[in-house]
Amino acid sequence: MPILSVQNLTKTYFVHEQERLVSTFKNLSFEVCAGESVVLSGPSGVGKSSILNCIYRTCLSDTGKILFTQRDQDQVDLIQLPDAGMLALRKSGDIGFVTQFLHSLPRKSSLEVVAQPLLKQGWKKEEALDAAADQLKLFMLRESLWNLSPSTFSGGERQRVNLARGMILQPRLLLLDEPTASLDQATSVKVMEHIMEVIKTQKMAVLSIFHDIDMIENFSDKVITVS
Amino acid sequence: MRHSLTQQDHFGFIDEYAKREVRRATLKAICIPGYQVPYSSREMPMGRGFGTGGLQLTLSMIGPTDTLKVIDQGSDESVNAENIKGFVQQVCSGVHVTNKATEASIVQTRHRIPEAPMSEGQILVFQVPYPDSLVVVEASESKRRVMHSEADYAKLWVKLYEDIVRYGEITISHRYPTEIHGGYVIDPSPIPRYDTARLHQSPVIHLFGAGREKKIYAVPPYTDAKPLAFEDHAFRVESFLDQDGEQASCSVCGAKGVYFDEHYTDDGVVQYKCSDTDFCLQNLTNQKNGQ
Amino acid sequence: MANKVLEVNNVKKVYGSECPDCLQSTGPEHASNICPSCGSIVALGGVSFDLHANECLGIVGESGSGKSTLVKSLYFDQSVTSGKAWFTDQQGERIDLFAQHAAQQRWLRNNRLGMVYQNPHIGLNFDFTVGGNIAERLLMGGSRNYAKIRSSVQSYLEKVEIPLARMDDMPADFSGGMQQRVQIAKALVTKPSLLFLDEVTTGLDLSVQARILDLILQLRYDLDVAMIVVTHDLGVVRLLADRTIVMKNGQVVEGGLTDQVLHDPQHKYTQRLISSEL
Repeated sequence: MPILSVQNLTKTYFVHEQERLVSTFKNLSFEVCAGESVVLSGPSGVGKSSILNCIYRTCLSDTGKILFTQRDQDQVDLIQLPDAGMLALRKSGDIGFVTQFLHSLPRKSSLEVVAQPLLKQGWKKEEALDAAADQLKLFMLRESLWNLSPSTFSGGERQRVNLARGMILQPRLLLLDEPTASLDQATSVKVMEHIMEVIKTQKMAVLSIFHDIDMIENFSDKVITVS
Repeated sequence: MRHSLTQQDHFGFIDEYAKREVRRATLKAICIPGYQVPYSSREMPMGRGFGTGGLQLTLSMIGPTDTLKVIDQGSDESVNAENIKGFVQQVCSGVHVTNKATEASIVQTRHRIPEAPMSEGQILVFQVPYPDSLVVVEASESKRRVMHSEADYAKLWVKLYEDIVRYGEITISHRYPTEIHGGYVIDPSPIPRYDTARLHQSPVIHLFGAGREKKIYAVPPYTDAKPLAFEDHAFRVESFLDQDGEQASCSVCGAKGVYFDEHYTDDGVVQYKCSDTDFCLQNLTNQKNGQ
Repeated sequence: MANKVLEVNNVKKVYGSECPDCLQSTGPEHASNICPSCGSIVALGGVSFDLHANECLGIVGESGSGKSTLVKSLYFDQSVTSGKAWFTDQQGERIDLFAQHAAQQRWLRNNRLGMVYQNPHIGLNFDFTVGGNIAERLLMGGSRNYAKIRSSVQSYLEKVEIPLARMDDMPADFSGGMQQRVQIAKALVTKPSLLFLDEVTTGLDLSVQARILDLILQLRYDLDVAMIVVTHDLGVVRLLADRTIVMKNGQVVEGGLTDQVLHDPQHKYTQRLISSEL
């Protein structure tokens, strides 16, 4: 059974100010299985990010189904799931989402930012910070930056902090929205190699958006073209 | 209009309607221990603040067969006590006055409880300046009434807490907030802590009259009276020690373990004297008779 | 799924004579919350929402939207005209909040609920020391052991990062941010299961705001407490709230997961509110 099965998904936005309906994708269907990296491709503005948002409930979907297979092999429709259920899936690390942006409080160190999902789960602070340090190491962030706030970082450093936070729970379904957009070629490849390794060993299902053609070719098991 | 007091005046000075109102308030106060019953305090031929609340209680209860004692800070001879005694004698023909606490049926007192043990049937009438224990933490009377009705005394407790923070102990010397019958917390009028402790399970009826504030409240006989205190900072009464740190004794009659007034001799030495003058005199008389 | 701490059902608060048209002619689709027929002010026009254990709910809206009225009603600072609010405490007892008499409400306020006001002069007693303010809630709950009270006050002051040396100072000697911290400690010291935060960071400068928000986040992880955060600042709900409801003219316009409401607002009013954020 695939971890994620999207069936006939449609999403439109209504802009009240302009009284205008903005349509994106229509009747979209695809699947993502455990240990699989699926990449969404298509021109800008076609609604690739909206797909990720619909799955993570950052957007509401119009019609269709988003079936997610839980740990106990029960399938739930993420569209029908109550808010509390969605929150629980996010908190438990069943579904993770790494966007291009990192929202964090000023004064918070990178370590604390990365440890946050663990703290939410009630981990002891020291243990959570240790785990965060391991993650930051894996994403090759200089140790001298660990105790600084990401708000002062370069785009690439901030993105790696964001990835480390997204990966710390090793979510069963990980959504990546241009995770390497601000990284140089060499770092992008290293980062993605690491993520791919974890996907394979931990049997994670990953759905991502890349703009770089090389990245799509090298780090995808399956490409879905959205039009 | 000038009013001169003559023997033709109404017995007890205040009219029967007013007496009835005070008696009703008194009965209610006894039925609800510690509850402040409002009443319409009458004009008395003396200024408010000189014991008009206590006097109205006394006058509404007293009859020709009663014996009255009046004390002011333990003294039978002070101006306030003498004047009240004189006035009551003027307006209540036949009433006896005495200095002996054990002989009196009614004792009107300002800020002391007589040392001599009193017994069932006797009535202690307190003159009260501030009837509400919560007045130190809440200015609005309507709010205080709600707080009393809900037994919400947390703010009073914070005062005690802050006393300990500042001074290491609760420093309230008189008007010590006291919980009556597990319910209302009263201001027992400015009696010392030594007397506050003696309200507990006493056989006497304690009536409190506040003339200016128009309130009557009571501690009935054999009622629990618990001064507020923390488990680890217990309530304690005043201790009087002489220069050697020993329990002090009265410089006149030699009594120990009673409430003293403090005096300094010309050489600057602390001397103690019984605050209750009648008690002191009795001791002296007994000693003489014994010799 | 987590238990519900609070179920608010169709709560109304009307100032005035109230006519049958009141609810239809006020609310988000209308110009104001004043009924054109009878002139009554509909402060709350039938508000419903749920809150789960350990959850943080944001309530956003502009001034006069009824968001503060809502939490103040739930904390018994104000009464409601009609509606129900069921509160489930730590022991699983289900309590009909608005049906409680005054003494029970006071008990609930002290032992089960906590409130942090925008204005520290409402939340704190400026005649008492900071420690005394926090101790007051314990004393109200019946604690009579001075040493124990002292030590729990200390531990909560530590939690909100106030130096213990300042424990016996007066609140007036504290900065605005510190006063809010004291309020938070005061609200939490009786271990409530539901905490209301009414515009707690409004009026504080940005760095102090950030530190207060950080503290609230930290306390959320450490303590077992559900929160309702009332604010007009979308940034505050973005950081604190799991779910958010948007209010206008006394009614709920829409609600959902906070990032969904901010990212994909459905209602015209919410879209305008979010596009006007600085």
